[in-house]
Amino acid sequence: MSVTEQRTGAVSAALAQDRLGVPSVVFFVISAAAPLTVIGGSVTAAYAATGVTGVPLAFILLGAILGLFAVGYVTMARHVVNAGAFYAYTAKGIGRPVGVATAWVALLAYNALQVGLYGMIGAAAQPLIAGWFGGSPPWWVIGLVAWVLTGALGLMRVDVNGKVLSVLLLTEIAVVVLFDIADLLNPSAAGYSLDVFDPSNLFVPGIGAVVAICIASFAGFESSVVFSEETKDPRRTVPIATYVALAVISGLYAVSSWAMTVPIGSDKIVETSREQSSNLLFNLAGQHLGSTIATIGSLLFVTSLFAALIAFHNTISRYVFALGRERVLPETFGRTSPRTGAPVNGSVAQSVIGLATIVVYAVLGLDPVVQLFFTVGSFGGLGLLMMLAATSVSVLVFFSKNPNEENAWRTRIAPAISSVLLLVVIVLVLLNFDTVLGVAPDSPLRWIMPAIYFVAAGFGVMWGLALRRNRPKVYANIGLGAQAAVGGNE
Amino acid sequence: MANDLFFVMHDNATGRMRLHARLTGLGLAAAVLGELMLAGRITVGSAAGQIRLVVLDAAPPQDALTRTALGHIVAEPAHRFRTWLQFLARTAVADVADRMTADGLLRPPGRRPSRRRTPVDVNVAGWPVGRVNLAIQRREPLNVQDGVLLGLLVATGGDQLVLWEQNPAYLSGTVAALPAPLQELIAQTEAAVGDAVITRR
Repeated sequence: MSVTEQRTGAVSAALAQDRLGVPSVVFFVISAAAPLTVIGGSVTAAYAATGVTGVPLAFILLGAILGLFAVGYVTMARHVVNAGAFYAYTAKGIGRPVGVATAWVALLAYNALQVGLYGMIGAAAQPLIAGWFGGSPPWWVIGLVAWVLTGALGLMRVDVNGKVLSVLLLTEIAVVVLFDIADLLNPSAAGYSLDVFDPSNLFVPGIGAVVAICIASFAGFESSVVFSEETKDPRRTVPIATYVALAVISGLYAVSSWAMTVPIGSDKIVETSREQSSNLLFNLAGQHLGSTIATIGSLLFVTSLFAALIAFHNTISRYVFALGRERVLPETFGRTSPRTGAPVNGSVAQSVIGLATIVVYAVLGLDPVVQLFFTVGSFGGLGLLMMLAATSVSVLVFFSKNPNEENAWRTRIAPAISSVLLLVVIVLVLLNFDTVLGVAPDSPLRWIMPAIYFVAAGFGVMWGLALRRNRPKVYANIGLGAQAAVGGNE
Repeated sequence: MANDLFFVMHDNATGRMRLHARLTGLGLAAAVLGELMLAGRITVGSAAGQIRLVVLDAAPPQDALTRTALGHIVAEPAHRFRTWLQFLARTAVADVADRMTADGLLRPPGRRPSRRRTPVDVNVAGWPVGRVNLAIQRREPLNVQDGVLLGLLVATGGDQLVLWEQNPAYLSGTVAALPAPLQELIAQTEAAVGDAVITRR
């Protein structure tokens, strides 16, 4: 390293001014996970749909597995261009055709996670509107309003970020903690019980379905590495922020899903969740804290869902944009709106998928919470698991092909353990996919739905191989995202 | 060239830029580097596995804007190309506007702090975009400077707003005819714009 490189010059100093520290990155990551959405929506849906009471333990175990996964993930992030996207890792680790396959799976999974939220926001807003106006439109009308707003904000490239996001997120967390305290101060006749942390209440038939919806609740944590280029010290800031965010998220989810059982009793939580669905959290708050606090909670639940809708919408449109820039998707998806800098065609494509889902569910009269939010969201969770497992294996392969100074724990041991654990989790989810879908154990749908991912991955590999043969330049750029323009030579 | 790009991206009627601020900044930053390349002051090289700027002639240029930029590059040669785009983009819009005001191309801003700048002569302001559009329409080759102008316009996405005709074949032909460092300039700008779209800030 030369003298000039060591000196902090005017250029570095000027650019460092708007670099991010650990708290900012943690903030971004937690807000992408949308805590109130998970605790108000996913947790009750998990109790109700699976009948398994071990949800809090599932959050702890998944948090630990993701922590192990993150060890290799953040280490390899330093060697990956376009680090926020899982397919960049698999392209670099296992090979470019697998990268394309991962990208296809990612598009399916993220879209599933996003459109599921339209069902929940409809169901969540209904009681509020009914309380104010005496009646409420069907869920899909509310879903369509949310869809219009999401699409419009996506095109205007309005990220709900900065101050609005911070205020919303802090209020959300404050409300969750307040609700937890109120729940814990009002135990049921049975008193306090830690049954929900007992492995025998998690390792039962249905565990795979719990895992699917719980892993979906962590979606967004992978975005921490997007900020590598923008942090003060990428080698420290990004890993620390990732671990802190994972610890906070899984801790908050585990404690809150336990606290919810305290006033009800862990033996009655499944039944009560089935009766009250996403209202449960707020009904409990109403009993203990009064209706005003409960209404504020419900309102924040809706804003949390809306923030999550926008976050996922933007994630997908950027993914599509990056693939368009690589020319893996048609070039038109790599276009930006000159006025707003929005990835315009990616945004429109995501909106079309959202609209189609809302229309199909409305026409068929399907349930917005169980059949849209839970089922489609868990389907997205399965896709996320597959991407995590593939990425974990890629880390192993990458470091065995490219030995470097990183230690064995980061490059071999942690990635190997997390790969095995993630594969076990995937098998569990596949075995319980009838519960995820709410169909009979012998329904063919339980195999058809997961098979969609394998078909998508298969076509992805074939498309990757076709690119290698017909368009070698495009093939060489797979996984590079926007840096495809310079062939990854930064 | 930065002046030309400024006029192309600028809306005379409203006095504002047509493009999103970050994309405008990156485009104008690239144009400033392009001026230094065309003047033979810098070129593109590679060192330590990175694409960097290499100084060919460190003598200070007459013009204050390129002189300052070249001064930074001479002082800190170890930065990546992309870092220079990001660094210059922070202030490029104001810097180029100030130079154009000093050169009598833009009216001085009024007392109110405002981003609106109006050209002294709308015909002068309209000439660069008209010139490029006419050449595309007549399928005439562009000179090097206008070729870079067109390349940077497309790299920032501004072509969708101001070009009469979208002609990918003409564009790729124009860019392919440019010297390698200028092609790299356009590719780096496209990559920086893409990254600006992908990262949230």
